[in-house]
Amino acid sequence: MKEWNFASLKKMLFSVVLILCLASFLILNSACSESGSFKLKDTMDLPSGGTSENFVPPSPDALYDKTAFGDTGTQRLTRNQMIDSLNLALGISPEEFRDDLPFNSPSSTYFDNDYESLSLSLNDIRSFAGFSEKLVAKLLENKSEVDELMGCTPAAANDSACLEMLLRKVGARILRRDLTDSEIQSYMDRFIPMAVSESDFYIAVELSLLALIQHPEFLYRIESEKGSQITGFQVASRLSFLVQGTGPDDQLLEAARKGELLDSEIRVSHVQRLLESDQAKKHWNRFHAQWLGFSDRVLKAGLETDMLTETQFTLSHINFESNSPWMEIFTLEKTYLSQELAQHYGIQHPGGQSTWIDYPQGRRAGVLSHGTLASLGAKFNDTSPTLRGYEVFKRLFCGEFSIDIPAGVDIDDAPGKAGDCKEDRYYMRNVSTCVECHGITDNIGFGLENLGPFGGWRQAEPNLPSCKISGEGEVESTGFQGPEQLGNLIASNPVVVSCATKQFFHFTMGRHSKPEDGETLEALVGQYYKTNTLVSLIESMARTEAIVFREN
Amino acid sequence: MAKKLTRRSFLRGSGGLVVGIPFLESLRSEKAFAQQAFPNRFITTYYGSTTGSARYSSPDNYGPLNQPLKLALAPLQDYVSKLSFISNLDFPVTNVAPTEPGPPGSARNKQHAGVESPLFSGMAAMERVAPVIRGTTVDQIAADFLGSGSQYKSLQLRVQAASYNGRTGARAQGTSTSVRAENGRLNELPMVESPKRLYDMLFAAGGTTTNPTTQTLAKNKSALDFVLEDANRLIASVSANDRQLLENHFEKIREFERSLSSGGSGGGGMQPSTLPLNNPGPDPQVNSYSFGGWADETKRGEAMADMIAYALSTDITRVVAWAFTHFQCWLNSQMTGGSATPSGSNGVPEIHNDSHNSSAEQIAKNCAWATGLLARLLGNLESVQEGTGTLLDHTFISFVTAESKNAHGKTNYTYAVAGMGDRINLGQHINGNKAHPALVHLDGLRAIGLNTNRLGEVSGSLPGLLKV
Repeated sequence: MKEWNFASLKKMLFSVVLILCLASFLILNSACSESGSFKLKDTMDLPSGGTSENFVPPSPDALYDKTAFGDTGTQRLTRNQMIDSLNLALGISPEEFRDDLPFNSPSSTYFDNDYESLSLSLNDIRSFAGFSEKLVAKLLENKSEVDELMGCTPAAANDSACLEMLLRKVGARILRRDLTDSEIQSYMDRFIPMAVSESDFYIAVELSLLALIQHPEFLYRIESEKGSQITGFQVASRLSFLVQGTGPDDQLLEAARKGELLDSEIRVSHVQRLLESDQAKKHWNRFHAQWLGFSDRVLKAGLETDMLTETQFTLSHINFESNSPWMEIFTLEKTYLSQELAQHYGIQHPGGQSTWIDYPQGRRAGVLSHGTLASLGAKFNDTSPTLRGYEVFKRLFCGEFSIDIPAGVDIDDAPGKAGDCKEDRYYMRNVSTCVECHGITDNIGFGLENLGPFGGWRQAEPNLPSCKISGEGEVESTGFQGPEQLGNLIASNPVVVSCATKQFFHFTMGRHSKPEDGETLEALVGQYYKTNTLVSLIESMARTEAIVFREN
Repeated sequence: MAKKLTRRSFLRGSGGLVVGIPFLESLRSEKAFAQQAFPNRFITTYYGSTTGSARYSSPDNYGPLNQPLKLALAPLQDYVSKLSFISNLDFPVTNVAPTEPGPPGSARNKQHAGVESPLFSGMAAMERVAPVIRGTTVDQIAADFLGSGSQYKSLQLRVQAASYNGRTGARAQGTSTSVRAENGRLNELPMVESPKRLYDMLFAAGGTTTNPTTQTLAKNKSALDFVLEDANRLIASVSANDRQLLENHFEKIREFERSLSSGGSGGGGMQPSTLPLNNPGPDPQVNSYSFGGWADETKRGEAMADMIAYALSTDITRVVAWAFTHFQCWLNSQMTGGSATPSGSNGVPEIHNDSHNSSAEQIAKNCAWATGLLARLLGNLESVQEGTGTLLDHTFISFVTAESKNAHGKTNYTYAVAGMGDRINLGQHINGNKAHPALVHLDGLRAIGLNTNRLGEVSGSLPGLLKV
């Protein structure tokens, strides 16, 4: 069998798929009752007839070039990053004021941190102001905690030494760098007289914090001129946002002060330390939630927390606790269930607290079986095999089609005749003019039909007991039955690895990939195959010289 | 307990710099309202579904509006002398691939969200690239022309509290009908969906805070003054692209400070409105984000209609983009008398499902819910005397829909305009002769005095709409 790699795959698929899609576009008619709007975006990601056995991982070397990160524009902190960074800096959670922050801008990636889609309105400034006022007011409700934060108790309203301690310690945490002596002096010159005027030292604290939290150096990750090495503090920020989505902690700031972060081994040691934190787990769970698409899904009422906990435990177990291959999130043979969720799934629970339970053999495996991911296929008060298959295709294979939805077709109309079995209602994969898309999406989706809209197991269609569900599907010309077998096919597929590492790139860089990122994307795939773990991929981003350099 | 801060101490503490005086009621301009020229105002309203069949919507004959309005438009009956309908408007349509724009000003001839770009910006639609609208929208053009003297250059509001498509959080916010091209990119301006938040914006000036005291506003202003003083240092230290971003950020802070200085009530020195305005209180809760959700949007819409009129009458703003719903709105339709268990599709009573499957009468009732809110706004504007006329006489208002007479329809639209009777022929049903629907907005810009020949890729004028 011919060996396939990215270059040959790209060439071959581009020719074949483009011809097929163009032909389909020309002859498509309204026979397809449900379809999607797709385009051929990057043939490298598309599955083909290749198999994982003869796949040759590319070299990871390009990842270690100082230009590997490509464009590194200025990112504004997301809602999550602001909340978590201020929690770290101030020791109180701003979570209750989350809704006061502006919404993240619309994104061209799956993630909330796409700086290339960033927008700013007057309302955003108002929102920052309102958020800051509330957060600082909450902090000042307990003066003894403020004193603890500063490391001093003010002797008088003009206690500039105490304010200086706040600015040196907390100011550095918020702005992610040390304040200069002249900056500290300007804060004191401005705000101490106001405190004296009102005989209240904490007014200087309040005003200083309001200024710091609304300062662009907190709101944006500002870095040095392009084409140059960045500062140690900026490296500390890159590392911290990479690992845990917050500004740097005191240890990283101290390492930056000492100039230690140019040393790749020291950088990696800090990354390993941070990866132990709950914040890192939360951050990477968010990555998965946005990539896999369940971060904003409405889940089954009453089971929302249990479902999210199940998926979070699985992701953390694979990636951080057992340090297993990343792709095992699709194949893990056990899951973490409450009694209520186990009952919903039809799985026996030993009673008591939530616990790890082995899946029944031959049915479920990994996150594809979870209610969180199953919800992506919920439609028409049931499931849509087309939608579910499309979600798998686009999120796990990074697949897109170039075919437009035919005129007159409405994807919000349930296809076929009500009362018929789905095999008949979703007839599109058997129609020559529709098969190019539906042959992919529906064949995947039908293989997951045993999962109800929120992951409950079923043998027949709702309210149609005579419509038995076979659970038979097909992906890349390989048949499978049910989520367990699909999980195994996915986990061993290099196209899925390529897609996952591309999403990793989008998330860590805060932007969509571009053609000029091709070498880095391939190198990330190569890096993944060296150890197969997510943690090693994160560490590689800290090890590369690119993390101390701003190319463009 | 912390002492209250006086205004004097802040002025002292500003180190001699020019600092805007925090708003105090006693210091507000006492210019006589009657002595001022009344500014023009501009409002777009948008319903993300269809007016429904002509049988229940557009007037039967062109010419003067001398027949009772039909079901979908009936709530506007009291204002027929202050508005006109324009029918027979067609979008050019395209089926090209989603990442390529079609011919100039074209709509996507397929799914929903295919008309917002040409309708509001005059730019051909190109879906799946955020933002959906591909150019500066008409409200923002109007804001640049009208809004400089007001506290808010424009307001963006939406009645529908969530998309009700099974999503929560930011993804449930949907598409705004307001977009600005700034710094080489298109920025979608988020729409405020909370009446409470709008109330805070109008009265608190701090926007998100709940009735902040003058002291709180003054404190934040002092903090922001301090941040602004750091602008030069910071801007000088970054690369060109970052410089542009930071300059934009600092400019927005200055704009915010100007709004603080002008106080929370009136930006142009105009007197408080004669309109009574009640605090809407906490927002009705969004209990379900699934299809057919409902968070008392009627109450939300009525509160917004009142606050928009108040904001215009006091010159807090001169421009409003007001969406009644999201495009392809899944808002519950039982409030308009729809069946609790409609046939077809997902079997849930919601406006999108209705547009495909319900009776023409029900579809028209759904539209009447939106025109009912519009009627409340028109009534409010009409109740405010301005010189020898009313606020409505100084306001251009458009009412546009995403779809024409049926679900996905892109031809034979019926739109409405109201106000500005000295510039617009009112009380008429005008034949658009298949002209581009965005000409409603282009002529609206002309009505407020902007001399322009083009909205994005669309040019021309609607025959008979503007007075010559």
